[in-house]
Amino acid sequence: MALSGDKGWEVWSSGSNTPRLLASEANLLQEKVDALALPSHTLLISSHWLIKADRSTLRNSLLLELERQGLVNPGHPPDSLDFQILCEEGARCLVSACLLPTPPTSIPKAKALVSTADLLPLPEDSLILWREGEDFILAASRGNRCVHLEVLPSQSPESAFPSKFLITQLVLEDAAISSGFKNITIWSPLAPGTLTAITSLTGLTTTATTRPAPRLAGNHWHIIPTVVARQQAQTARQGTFFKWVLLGAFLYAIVAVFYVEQYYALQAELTSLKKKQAATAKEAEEFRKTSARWEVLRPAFDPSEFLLEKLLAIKSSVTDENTHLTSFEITPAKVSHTHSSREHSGSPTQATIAFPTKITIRGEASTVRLAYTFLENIKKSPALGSHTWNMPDPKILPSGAAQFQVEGVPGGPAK
Amino acid sequence: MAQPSKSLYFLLSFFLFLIVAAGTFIGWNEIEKRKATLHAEIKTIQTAIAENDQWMNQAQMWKQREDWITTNQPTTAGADDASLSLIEGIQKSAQENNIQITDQKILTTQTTPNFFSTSVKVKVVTDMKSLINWLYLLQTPASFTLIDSFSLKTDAQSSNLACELTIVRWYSPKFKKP
Repeated sequence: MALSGDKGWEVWSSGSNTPRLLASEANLLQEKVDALALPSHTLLISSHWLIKADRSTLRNSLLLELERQGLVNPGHPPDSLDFQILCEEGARCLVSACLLPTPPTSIPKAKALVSTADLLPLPEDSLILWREGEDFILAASRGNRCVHLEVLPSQSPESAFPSKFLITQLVLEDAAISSGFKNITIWSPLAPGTLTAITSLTGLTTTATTRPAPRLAGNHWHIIPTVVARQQAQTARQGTFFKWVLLGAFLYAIVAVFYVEQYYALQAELTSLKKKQAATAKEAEEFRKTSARWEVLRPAFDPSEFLLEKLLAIKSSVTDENTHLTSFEITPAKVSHTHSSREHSGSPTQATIAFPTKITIRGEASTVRLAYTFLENIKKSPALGSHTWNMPDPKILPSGAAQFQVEGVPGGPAK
Repeated sequence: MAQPSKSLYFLLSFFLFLIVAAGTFIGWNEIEKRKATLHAEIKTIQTAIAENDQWMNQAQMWKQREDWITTNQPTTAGADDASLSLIEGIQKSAQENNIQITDQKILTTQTTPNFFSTSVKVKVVTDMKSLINWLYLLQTPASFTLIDSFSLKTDAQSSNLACELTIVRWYSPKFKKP
């Protein structure tokens, strides 16, 4: 807490009984305090009886009353105004107001701006006098709330104090702002004669003591100068803006993390799949080689590829006794042809036919039709399906018989 | 020190926004490229795994086939041994089936990763029944014997057949130790 004391600005730490004095008012701007008591000469605290109304109406009534009493210039509302209802009687209520007539030039950083009367524990129903710098401050309390604050100019002689106390007492009691003062408390050294004069003039017990340590009352004034209000509004706007920026950044970060996470999840999946593939790759490769070898060697052990099978198939293709075969030839065929493994459908394995042969059959038939019948029978024969069969036009002999030649080349119809 | 003006704040914010937007765009593009590459790799690996699984599902069959080839493919000590063994077998089976060999000639050998091949060209005269019996005995699955060329002509004057054929045997490419 910081307040103006009799020797300058005091900074009070919580739990401490002695203040830290600041060298100058300029140093105050560097201090970060919870509560700052604005100098009393910059504030005006007064109390007025007003007709009961809602708070907004009451504020307007209060401003009019202050204007009427000449405390506020008409058309120039105070820079800051706060008020509290002290008590109610019938249709009226006693309102205590604290106003800042002109905006301060500079405001130190503080969580709350209050009056010195808020920080000092005022005795109940008393007139209190203390010193702030060169000035004397005369305050009046109703209960322990400050209802009146007055600055006694530094050039005023102490001899004028008793009459000032008396006037204040009479005015406040006459206006029923105080229900009767019980005593007078002096927190600043005065001449003994002055104290005696005050007591004799006011008829109240006068107690002279040192000013107590300040504490922030729960029910204090809220003085918010325009510049502070503007700063607060700007800070609030910036806070809102930064909240949205932070929220946007947070959402952006979440989306970015999620997006990048997807990439790393893919990498992890790929690594896992590579491991899985590697686990069987070697053995599968062996089987792939075996399959290729099997296909290469097939003509040597597959009976369907044997010559005898083909001979029998050709022989069984002769279905008419008027068809005679005169020669049968198998010659190596120079072809480069691949076909898929039969056992492994869908496998990319392919094997070059290791033993391609060309088959040539010559014969005679009594008619051309019989020659073509023979060709059709060969084409239908499953054992001869590994070859593609064709026959040039048969030669017609003088006897009317047809001399034909059927040729089969490797590469059967697609299975 | 003078407070920065609102327009300066706005300009700075705008540049910051541009930098973030550009960074986001570049980063997004880069990650998309990498993700596309990863997706392609994953697809390839998945296909490879599916293929491997198919092979593994047929593991028993391929092991049996490998064993069968290893067990049954004839082995030889060398080219001379292979040719001699083949021609002896041909002569023996021809004699058993009353087939007359009129000419015989050992042809060149050939080596491949899967077999060592030796072949003999033979001319025979026979009847159809004997020829069929002979071919039946000659070409069995376990003998790894093939007929490379075959020419069969009927003699119009007689019932005999003139046959010229090249008989091949695929030995194991690994020679046995003599």
